[in-house]
Amino acid sequence: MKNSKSFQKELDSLEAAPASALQDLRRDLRSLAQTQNRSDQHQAWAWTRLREELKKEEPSFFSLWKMRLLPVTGLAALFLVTGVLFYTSKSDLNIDSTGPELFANTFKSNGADVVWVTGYHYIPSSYPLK
Amino acid sequence: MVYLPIKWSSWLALSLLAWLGLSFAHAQDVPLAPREIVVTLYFAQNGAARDELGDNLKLRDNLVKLFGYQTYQKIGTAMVYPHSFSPVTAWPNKLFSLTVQAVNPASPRYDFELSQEEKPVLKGSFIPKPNTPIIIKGPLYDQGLLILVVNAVKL
Repeated sequence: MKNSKSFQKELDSLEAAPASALQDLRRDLRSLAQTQNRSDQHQAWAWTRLREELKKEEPSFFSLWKMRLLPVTGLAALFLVTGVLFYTSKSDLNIDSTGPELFANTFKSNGADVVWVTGYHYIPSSYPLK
Repeated sequence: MVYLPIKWSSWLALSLLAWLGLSFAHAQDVPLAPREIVVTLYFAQNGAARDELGDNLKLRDNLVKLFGYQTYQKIGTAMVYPHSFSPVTAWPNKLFSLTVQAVNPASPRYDFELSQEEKPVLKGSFIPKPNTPIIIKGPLYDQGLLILVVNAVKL
């Protein structure tokens, strides 16, 4: 069986096909057929497997997208959203610290940023402002 | 059809998205044109003093809404040009000072420190924007209130 004309013809047609990832398998099968060190049953199984492999579809863009690109893109989008949130979370006005006994809060009012500070000591009118 | 190896495609997509993300994030914090920082100290009261905010009705309405006082007397104004990374200090009067310093060349953000008689009142950072004043509530004085208004003016 392994040296029959039909298999030789099949081997020739396979080798005439454009190169693909299955080239190694085809080469191994040809080598096996020539060295005759495998049983006919084993070779029949190998040829059947090769045919099944050949019947498999080339990975389409969508399957590639589903299997590999979608998780990677999802992860990247997560990083992107996290980064944007991090960068934009810092508002235009930030109060980092206040003096002792003082408390400050910020808010917006009619287009202005307001810093509402409490805890000041009263300043009597005897203190000249200018 | 020629496919890129999956590993390279993944890295390409990841790099592209990361680049887009960084570009977007950077766009939120791009350096702006130089700003002049103007600090004005007002004394708000309900007495018969002359109101000096008649030409800035929006700010006046905002101050009335926030603090309830009817007249705003300008005590002093000081300007600084924080164009370098050295701190610059504005003294609108002898009581208050505002020190401003640029954070880094890629950011329009400035660190600031407000002091009262050279003692720190507030420390923080801000991005100066024209037409967006920063109103800082000051201490009570006599029968009124001191208020600091920080404005950014595009040079």
